[in-house]
Amino acid sequence: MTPRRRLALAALFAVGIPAASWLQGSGALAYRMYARSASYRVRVTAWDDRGQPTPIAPTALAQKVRGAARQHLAGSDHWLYFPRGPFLVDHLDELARLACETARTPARAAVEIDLRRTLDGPIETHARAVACR
Amino acid sequence: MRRGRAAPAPETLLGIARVGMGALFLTRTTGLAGLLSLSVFPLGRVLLGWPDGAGAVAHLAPLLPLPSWAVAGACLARTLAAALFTLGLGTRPAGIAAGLLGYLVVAQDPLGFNMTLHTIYLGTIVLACADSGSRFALKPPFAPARAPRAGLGMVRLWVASIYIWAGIAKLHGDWLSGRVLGTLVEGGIVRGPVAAVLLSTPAHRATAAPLVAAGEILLGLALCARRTRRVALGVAVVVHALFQAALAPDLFTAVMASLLVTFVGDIGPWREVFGVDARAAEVADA
Repeated sequence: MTPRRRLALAALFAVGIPAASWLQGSGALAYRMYARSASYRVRVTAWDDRGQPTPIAPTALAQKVRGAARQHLAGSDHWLYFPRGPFLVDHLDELARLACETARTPARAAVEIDLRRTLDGPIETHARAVACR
Repeated sequence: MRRGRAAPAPETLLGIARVGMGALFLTRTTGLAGLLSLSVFPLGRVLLGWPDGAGAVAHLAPLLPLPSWAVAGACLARTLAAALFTLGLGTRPAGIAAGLLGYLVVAQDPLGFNMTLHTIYLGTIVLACADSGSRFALKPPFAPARAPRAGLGMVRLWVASIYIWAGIAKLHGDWLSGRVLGTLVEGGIVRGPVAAVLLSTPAHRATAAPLVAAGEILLGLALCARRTRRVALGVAVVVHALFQAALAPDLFTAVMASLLVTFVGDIGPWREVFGVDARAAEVADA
């Protein structure tokens, strides 16, 4: 590989990949470790046939999922300072269906996720309700 | 050209970095991580990302959904490729394959992705593209490294960019006010005697936060400059020691240590390193 090709690769690794990740919005490949101030909070509710609501701890949902999602759901009834809230919002449907499997004989379930993009930013609430039967 | 008397050859530095990075790759993606009590590695697993059995419902939707057998195959292939890269057998294809397979597996569980994994996977690809298999390898390439200084320069620019991007990411009000550091301290993420001394009050955090952001950017730039490289290398080692004491960030300290090895010794002006000044580069490499 010639030196100039290596220079082009250096530009790709050092500038192209992080910049593209930044522009794409997630910054997941831009070394933003510990820098972000976004936070999120999760509320889960299930209703029985009579319409009685029962809150479900997100930690109970965490027991049902595989992989790293467990860490990001456990304890998320309190504000968690991780930039993973938008990912969870993208999967509200799956989380709501999971709530159906977590509650006892629910008729329907709902998941709400509060997001704050900065420490003082407004709270954006994203919600999804699903019928469980 | 100015070069330190005892500066190791670029091939030597790249070979050391390759062995270090490969060992860390294998450690972080196999059960060896469990032996180090890394909380990021699932208990009872042999390979990171190995498909789960019964008991759990599902990952939240993966970025690139694959059937379980394909994920298992990718885990095995990733480990084999990382082992070959570490040993120096088919270093370039093995390293590129290991890094790409690492990304493929972690795409099945995107919430498990973090900067340590990214640095390991991309670092392996970068080193694989940099003649890092010329030394300390079971099977070095038949032909000698063609432009080892350029390979070393490529690695150095990428490593320096990590500090610069990390500093740029902190140039926002929440960080610069010290309040993000406050959440990290309150959440127990930043801890230990370093945090107790330097970050114990809002005033201390408001002072430290802009210094950290500016320091990271300046450190990256200083690592690139010939005059300041040696001092910057020493500062980087101290900074990572402090981060390790306060954050214990996965295997990130060890990963950066293996990459910072490549900053030992002068490799000459950048124009020569990358052949912009072609004749000077030929003379220097000869």
